[in-house]
Amino acid sequence: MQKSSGSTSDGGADAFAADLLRGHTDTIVLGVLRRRDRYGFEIYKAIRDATGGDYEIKEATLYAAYRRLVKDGLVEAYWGDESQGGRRKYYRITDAGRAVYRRNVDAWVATRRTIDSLLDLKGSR
Amino acid sequence: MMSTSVHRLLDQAFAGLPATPDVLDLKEEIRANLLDRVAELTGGGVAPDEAARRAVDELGDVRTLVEDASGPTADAGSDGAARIAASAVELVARNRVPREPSYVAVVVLVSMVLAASVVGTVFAAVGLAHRDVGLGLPTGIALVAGAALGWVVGASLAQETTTNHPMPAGRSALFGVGWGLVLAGCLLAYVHLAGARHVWLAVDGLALVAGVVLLSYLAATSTNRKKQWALAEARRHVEAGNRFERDPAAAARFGIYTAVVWGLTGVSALIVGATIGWTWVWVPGVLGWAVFMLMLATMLFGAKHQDG
Repeated sequence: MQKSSGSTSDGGADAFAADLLRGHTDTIVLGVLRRRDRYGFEIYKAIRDATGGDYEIKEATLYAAYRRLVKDGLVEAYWGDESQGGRRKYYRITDAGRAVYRRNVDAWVATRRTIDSLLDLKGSR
Repeated sequence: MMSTSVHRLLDQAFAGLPATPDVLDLKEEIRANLLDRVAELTGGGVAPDEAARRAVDELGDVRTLVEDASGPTADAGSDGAARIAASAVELVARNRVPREPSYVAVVVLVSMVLAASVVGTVFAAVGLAHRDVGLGLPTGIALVAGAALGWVVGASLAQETTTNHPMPAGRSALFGVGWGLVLAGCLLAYVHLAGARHVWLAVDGLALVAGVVLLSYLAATSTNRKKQWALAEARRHVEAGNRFERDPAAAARFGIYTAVVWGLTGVSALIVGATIGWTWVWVPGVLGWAVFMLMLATMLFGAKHQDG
């Protein structure tokens, strides 16, 4: 199963992918919030489902991301009005968050193209 | 049964951490999410206690989050106002977003159209009152004015600036429509009043109300557009700039000076009114206001050496 660089085992490839994902946590969360407001567990589940459950972003990483995003004004938090169980804290993306999301997606698309050509993927496909 | 287990484990995870509002807030947020995760696990056939344990395990280390949260307040504050002002200039320079020349040119052009069409509407309305022109001309010009204002508002909001991210296209377009409706409604109402076409006032009122309702909706649902550096800068200003909070004696002095300044202003206003004439009463008022603002500026933001 060795495709590109020779020395990575399966576990190594997993760690590589998880690292890549983690590096984009903030953008991923912004993307999940683009359609509607969600609370922590919904965001976590959306990401888990989107990755097919293969890689998951740790919840602690997500909480850190929420705090950072709120501090930077990219999302706003508010408490829901659930009457039973714990009250949920919802997150809403701001205009600034949408702008940053769009910029990061553009940057990612450009980077992906560069890396694809650097790794010479066109030939191997 | 299952929930008590989660609550206990959550308490353990947060044991020994300071009970600041920030930490408690985080704990409550995590609690709701944990309950959902436990419900999901038990729904899949996991035993309640095991589900609770697994949910808390998946959480990762809470402590790193809390240290992360209490970090930034420690190094903030205690900076001099002068240093902050200097670094603010530098920050603005680094983050500066120049205006697009084409945007500036078109806005200037459309603004001229706007000004001309507002004035034109008034003239056309006078013409209508004297039966020199029909209803069509002033109506057309007023609609041009509304469209011009709407375009300027929408295009400006959609621009990225040094401190703000651009507003999404749809939203800025709605803002433009709102302001356009308000202006067109007002101008058309003027035209119809001048031309004694009172039936049309209902339509004008409707446009005006629609515009105001739209703008109110947009204002109520507005979210942050400030850039990160601008937000951080504002926070630092709040922390370092408020001298009165750190120095109660300065606040007390400020209160006494304020009373003196406005007391003297009131007395001199009375004297001026009684001697020179009541039309000149505003002069002492303006002078007093200027002195007050100067005093506020020097006492709140200046005088670094007095802080020690």
